Amino acid sequence: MSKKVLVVEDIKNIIMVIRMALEARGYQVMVAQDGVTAMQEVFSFKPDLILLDLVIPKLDGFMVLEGLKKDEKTKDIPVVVVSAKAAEEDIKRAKELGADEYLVKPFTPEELAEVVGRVAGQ
Amino acid sequence: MNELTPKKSLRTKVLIGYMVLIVATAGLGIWSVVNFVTLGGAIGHILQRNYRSIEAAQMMLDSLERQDSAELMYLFGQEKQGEDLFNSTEATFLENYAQAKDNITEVGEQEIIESIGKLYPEYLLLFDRLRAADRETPSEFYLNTVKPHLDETKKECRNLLRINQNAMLRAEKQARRRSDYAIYSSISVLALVIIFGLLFGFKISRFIIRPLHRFILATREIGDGRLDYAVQEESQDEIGLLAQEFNKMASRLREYQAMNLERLIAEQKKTSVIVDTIDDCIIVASPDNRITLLNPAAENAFGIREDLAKGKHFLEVVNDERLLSLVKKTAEIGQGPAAEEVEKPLVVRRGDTEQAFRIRINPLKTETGKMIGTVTVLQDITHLREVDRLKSDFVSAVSHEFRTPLTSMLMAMGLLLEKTPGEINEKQKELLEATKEDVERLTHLVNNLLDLSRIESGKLGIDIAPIDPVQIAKVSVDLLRKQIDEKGVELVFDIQGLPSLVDADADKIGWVVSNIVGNALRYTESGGKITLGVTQKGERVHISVQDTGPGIPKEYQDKIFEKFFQVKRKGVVGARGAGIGLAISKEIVRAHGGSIWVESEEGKGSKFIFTLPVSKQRIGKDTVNE
Repeated sequence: MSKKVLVVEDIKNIIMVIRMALEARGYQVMVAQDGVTAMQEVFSFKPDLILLDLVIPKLDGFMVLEGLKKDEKTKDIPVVVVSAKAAEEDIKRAKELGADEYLVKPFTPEELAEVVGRVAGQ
Repeated sequence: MNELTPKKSLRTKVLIGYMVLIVATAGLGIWSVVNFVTLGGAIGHILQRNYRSIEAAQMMLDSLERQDSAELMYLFGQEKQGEDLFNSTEATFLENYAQAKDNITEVGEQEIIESIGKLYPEYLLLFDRLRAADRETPSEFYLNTVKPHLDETKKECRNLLRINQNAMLRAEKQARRRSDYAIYSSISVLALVIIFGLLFGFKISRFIIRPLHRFILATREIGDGRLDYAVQEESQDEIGLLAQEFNKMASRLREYQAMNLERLIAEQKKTSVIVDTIDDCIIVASPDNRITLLNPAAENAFGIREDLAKGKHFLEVVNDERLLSLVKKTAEIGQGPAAEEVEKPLVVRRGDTEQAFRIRINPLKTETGKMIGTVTVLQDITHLREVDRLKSDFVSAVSHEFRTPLTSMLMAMGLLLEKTPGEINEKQKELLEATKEDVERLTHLVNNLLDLSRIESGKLGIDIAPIDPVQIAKVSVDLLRKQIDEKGVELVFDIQGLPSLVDADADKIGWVVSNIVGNALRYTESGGKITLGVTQKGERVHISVQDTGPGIPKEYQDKIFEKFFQVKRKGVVGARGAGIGLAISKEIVRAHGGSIWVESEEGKGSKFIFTLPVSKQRIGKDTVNE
């Protein structure tokens, strides 16, 4: 059975290329375009991995991450932060909040696949 | 009349003085001549008045003796001879008698002459009577009559002789007195002339020398700067003229000084206005670091009025130990601090506000090089720092904004090349690869930009540890080995001795080395050579990268370390970076306390050198090497 990836991202083009790259590698992809939707999808879609952008409408990525990691039911879902924020303090903060991996934009399909495969396989 | 010819010249005065002396000497001469003449006259007088009478009297006596002898001859039988002698002698007597008679000069002489004149003819008659000798015997007549008469006549002649001799003695005495008088008077006059001459000489020398003393004094006064000093001299000779000219000179000097003073004051005013107008803080301190000047900008920045600050210690006005030590050093060595020493701005906090100043310190020296203080100029760069911060924020935002579109582009290229959406032909693949390469380049630039802005804002932490510089150099070029080989460039290591460990962040320094080697590779043609050197010089380890590329023109050698700077070359297209790698390298090296520079000659290649401080924990070397 293919692994389910929840992509939390609000930019159409990014959603398209990530979806295409992951689906080509056999992942089942669900997209949430804002923080609130993301929290709902975590419960309904029950993803094996979450790709989380930090800059998203309604609830920002840090808050989503914090919420996920505080909740007993969702805290074990691995989270890969996918962000244009490259500052060390952001990376540090995300890691402290429980992010499993931090992928700085931009990246290639191979890089994405490598990280996703590694984190989801754990 | 010539202006320089005085009405009464000194020469005239000196001549007049000499004339007086000449006249006095002439007077003395005349006086002496008069005395000589008088004396000569006196002697002549003696000769004239008495000597001839004496001679005549003597001759008369002689004649009488001889006539007496003639008479005796006659009496003793030699009658003829006696008569002849008597007669011949008579003429001699009469001749002398006439002489005596012509020269009657003395009192009583007339009577004597008259008496002789009466006695002698009688005597002649008596001789005649003797010759007659009729009544008595001739002998008896001679003895009784002639002889007494003769004696009487002789007696008168003797009287004549005596009276004249006495007169001569008197005259001689008188002449001697006169001579004595002449001697004494001449000596007196001579003494007077000598005394007068001495006095006059003294007077005239004083007359000439005394004004000169006044000139010496005046020259000294003027030399000491008291230009209002005037020489008081009213005479109208050369000295007076000199005094006039001297005073004129002093007056011109005064005018000149006043003019200079005016100019100086004007200059000072100008300078003071400039100093007051300048927005930078200007602090002038004495060599012992006491405040001597504070311009309004400095008054404002440090909250103290200049009049209150004057004389205070530097630290009391600007409470910053680092700045003080820089000022002190400048005063001590007479040279402003090096660029690195003042790179860090001075930050002044007043309440909530914070001001940043760029520091410049210059020694204040006289023309002879004497240190008279220091000038500290503090340029307010608060707004510049603000601009810099905004720029960093902007760069950060831009690089962030670039990442999202870059992601979709990079991903899309990747997917197309992976043939996820479907098959592509060779030409499409080529185009996609080229585009992907450029997107990657853009990504690299964005990453570098962000690094730079983070380094500049001090957000990029440097993780210092003792590391082996040789190892870093070798490891960092390993990543480029493939590119180096592909381009056909030779890479040579030049490790001098056994360099010490350095205190550095291995990742960051590794980045610097690979950046510089990457640049060298970009500019080195196939067949060229890149030399990576590591050597220790004192407390610094020098890491250098030398290439055989085109070199960098002199005018660009400082600028290449600036952001976005690229050397523009004619006919060279491509092979260009973003122009921030060296800027980042510089920031990283500086954050390590090192420096970076380039030595390059156009056409002969470039050599980039950067230094790192030798590690303080030298013992750590072995552990790191393991």
